[in-house]
Amino acid sequence: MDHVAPQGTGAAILRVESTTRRFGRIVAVDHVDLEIHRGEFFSLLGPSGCGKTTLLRLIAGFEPLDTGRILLDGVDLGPLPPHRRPVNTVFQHYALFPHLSVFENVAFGLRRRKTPDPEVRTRVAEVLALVRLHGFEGRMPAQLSGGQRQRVALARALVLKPRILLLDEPLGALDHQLRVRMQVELKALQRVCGITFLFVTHDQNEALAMSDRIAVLSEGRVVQVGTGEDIYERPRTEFVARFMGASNLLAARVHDIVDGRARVAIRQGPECEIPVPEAIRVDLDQDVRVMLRPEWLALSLEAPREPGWASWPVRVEERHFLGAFTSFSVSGLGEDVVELNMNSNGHDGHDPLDTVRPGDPAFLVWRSGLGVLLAADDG
Amino acid sequence: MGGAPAPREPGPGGRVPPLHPSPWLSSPTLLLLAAGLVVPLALIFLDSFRLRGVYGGFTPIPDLWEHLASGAFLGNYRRATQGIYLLIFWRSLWIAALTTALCLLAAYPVAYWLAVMVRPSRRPLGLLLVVVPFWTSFVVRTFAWVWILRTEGLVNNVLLATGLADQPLHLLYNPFSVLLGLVYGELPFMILPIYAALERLDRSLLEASADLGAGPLTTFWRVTLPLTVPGVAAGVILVFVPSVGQFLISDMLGGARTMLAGNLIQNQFFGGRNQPFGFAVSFLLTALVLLILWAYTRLVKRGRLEDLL
Repeated sequence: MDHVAPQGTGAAILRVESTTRRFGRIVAVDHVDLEIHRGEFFSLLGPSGCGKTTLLRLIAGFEPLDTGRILLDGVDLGPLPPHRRPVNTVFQHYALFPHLSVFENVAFGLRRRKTPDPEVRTRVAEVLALVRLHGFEGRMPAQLSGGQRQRVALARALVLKPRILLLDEPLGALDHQLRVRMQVELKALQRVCGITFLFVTHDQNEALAMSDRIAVLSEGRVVQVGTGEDIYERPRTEFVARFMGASNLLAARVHDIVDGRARVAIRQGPECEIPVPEAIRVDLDQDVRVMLRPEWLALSLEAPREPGWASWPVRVEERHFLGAFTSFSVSGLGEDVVELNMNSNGHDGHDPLDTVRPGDPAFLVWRSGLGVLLAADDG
Repeated sequence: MGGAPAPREPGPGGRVPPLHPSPWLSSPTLLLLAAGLVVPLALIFLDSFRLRGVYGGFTPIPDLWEHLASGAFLGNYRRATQGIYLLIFWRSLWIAALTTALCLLAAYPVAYWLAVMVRPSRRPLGLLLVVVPFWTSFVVRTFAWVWILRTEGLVNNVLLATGLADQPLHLLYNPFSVLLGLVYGELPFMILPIYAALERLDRSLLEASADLGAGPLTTFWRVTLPLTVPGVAAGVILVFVPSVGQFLISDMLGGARTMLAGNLIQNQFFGGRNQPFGFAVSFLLTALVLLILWAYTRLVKRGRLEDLL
């Protein structure tokens, strides 16, 4: 196995260059450029049909490229058929061989490499222990639960020590609790073996929970690449903002730009100063949008007096208690209803907000620097 | 399996408890089986111990006790196990086995092409082409081979006209033409079950195999073929069984030269007028085929066939 430093060293192991794949008139992957670092957990995130699985299949070699190149450690994978590529895949529905036992499934790749029998036995035993399936060697896939099959699929790919492990929504078929548990296991496994993981998912939470970096895809294109924080808190487009979680998008106009900060007036709202992202060009008097996550906002019965807070009078429209937090819908800021979440605090009667009901007036409060500037015309 | 008891996890969509339908639901099938198979076989079995009549039919047995005690009732079987008849049995089984093997070799690539390589929207057309011969009578189709193979037939005319041969070849009335006719006639029965098995085959398994380092040939031997064994097994039975007992093809394409078990039986009822002997041969043949099928299905069930492959 290659020597790898944990959690990505910044050196590219895989480069996807201007890669395109068309199916008839549909462009599944559209001039995608990506760089995946050695040892990192990288996720391709996007709604179904965004091309994430196709991109994975291009890397595995199951689909031919229409344009571009894919380089693994500087070597063009293009001329290599799938069975000669030093990458392995965990398939969405596991694709375990139903006629082979767990042992033979895991040993399948080693046998193709003509690994001597004693080594096959030790390596299969090691990897089965790693995925906590020791003692299941003789079972057939049909005798396993979903979670166990998933782990066999993982073991079958990991035992070959691929330079990159490709995972195609491997947790999609599991129920919620098991999925959350497998997320933790998968991340731990990746840390232990230090293999670069390229993980495909449509689930934002899954991507955020596991990834070192995430690429958000939409309609065959990479829209944004970055850490989970980058993508969730500093989305570059309205699509990313909406896809990553609940968001309030407020129409605004730029009044002034000083030192990379823009003074913008929210329509039917206050004026506030927020940073201008590097990737976005804004001009004076340009129409923009300001994105505020629901958890960045708070509700108060009085306007805050201290500096550094923005506030605006609103009317409470709805109130939903959701356990860990209470979600409010308020009107008065911008044209649409604004959503916000406030953490539950025990509702012991000391918080005046406990008595706030739909129809009541209140103040919407947030730290004045918060907010993400987005180009208004973005789809 | 050793070690600690396996931790159980609730899989998505747990086991569905098996249904226990009333056994009476299968009574129509059982009735049909009894009327169409068990009763006729029993009659054949009983009649095979009787004596032939001079003009066909049976001669009444004067003394049943005497018939049984003297061993005369086994006369037909004694005759049927004589060398010449055993040779006919042997030849029939051998030709049927050869037919089955050739059908398998010819059918698998066709089924594979249809099920894997042809676009799904075009597959119905391909299947139609496979079954289209069934729209014409079997006798007519077999006779078409006579027309193709005979001395002044299509093949010889072409060969002579193009100068590839200066004398007509003897293509008809030999084991070759019988085998050709058999393979031709039985081929669809091999293609269809293999096609069905291949179509059910999960394509992601082939990708998984490639992903794990298996080339196309290894993938075929290790994944595709083992997983389509049920289709192959069904095809083998569907081809082998009718091939053993057939008499029409060997009659029409083999002339009088190739006597097979089917012809032997047929002769007893028409030319030979020895019905009891015909019944005895029929029963022996049926028993033999059942024995072979039993051994064969045991082999398939235990996965021995995959080991052999």
